Amino acid sequence: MSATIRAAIVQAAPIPICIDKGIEQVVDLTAKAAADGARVIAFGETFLGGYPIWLDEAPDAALWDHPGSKALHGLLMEQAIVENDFRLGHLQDLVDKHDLVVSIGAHERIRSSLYNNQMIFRAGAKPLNHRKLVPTHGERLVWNRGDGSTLNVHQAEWGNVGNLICWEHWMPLARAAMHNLQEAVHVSAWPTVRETLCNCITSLCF
Amino acid sequence: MHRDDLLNGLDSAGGNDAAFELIKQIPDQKLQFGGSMIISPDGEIAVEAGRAETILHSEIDISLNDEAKTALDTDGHYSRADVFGLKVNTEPKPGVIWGKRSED
Repeated sequence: MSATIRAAIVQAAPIPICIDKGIEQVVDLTAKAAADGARVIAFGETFLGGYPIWLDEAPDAALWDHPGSKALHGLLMEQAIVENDFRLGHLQDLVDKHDLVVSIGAHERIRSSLYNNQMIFRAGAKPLNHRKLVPTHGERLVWNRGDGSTLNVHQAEWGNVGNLICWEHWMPLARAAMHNLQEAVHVSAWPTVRETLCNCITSLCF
Repeated sequence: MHRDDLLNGLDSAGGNDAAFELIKQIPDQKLQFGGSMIISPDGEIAVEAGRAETILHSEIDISLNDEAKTALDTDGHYSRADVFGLKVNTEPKPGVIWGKRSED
């Protein structure tokens, strides 16, 4: 018996740092994808706030006490998603209205640290958090590590939906844990997909 | 995503001169390129986005998940639970727990 799910990936430039504006963009793009029939919709890693690419591309980003890095960190702290964030109400309304499953990455603030959270919005429930277990290389200058409490799946009526973030796909035991959670659909969130990653991701199907 | 997107986002969020100077160390070019794909349960790429901004749609027949497990189920018939084990600690780690000694 076939059971078909309409899925969509939003490939768009995020609005870096300014999450207030990024949320408006996400609501628009989600509405567009849903209007075209998608019921499972995926956005990339930290789409809300944008991937902190200055860690890779700006030579001075890791310098001690660098005023630019501190200013950017301060802005991300100010803009980051928090628990029960009222700014995400419109997105939740859209998800409820069309019975969507939306996976979207965001900078999240807990107390005074930032996390890389790939959230799954689903109808009639709070978003499911998945915080990146090990921020990769320079990312550790921005994000704290998530704990094991957010290694999970959303149980939709038709099957389980989960996600891992970027280099978590290079963690064999994280993959094994997701296999054990019996995903029907897996969202693999990256800031950009290079060809070398293709085998890594396609092989997760098994 | 182009460096200009970063500068515009920073402007919207009210970044200061120091933040702008750091971002301007980044080459003035496109920095992220997309490459999204939707992959079928059999591991084949159903659709690819390439580099352009787009919303990539596909139907996924999730009933194929079962057929795909014919030869390989790494969590079941192609595993050896008596040889290998995985323990996942799902306990939240708040770091500091407040309470009276009697509640230990």
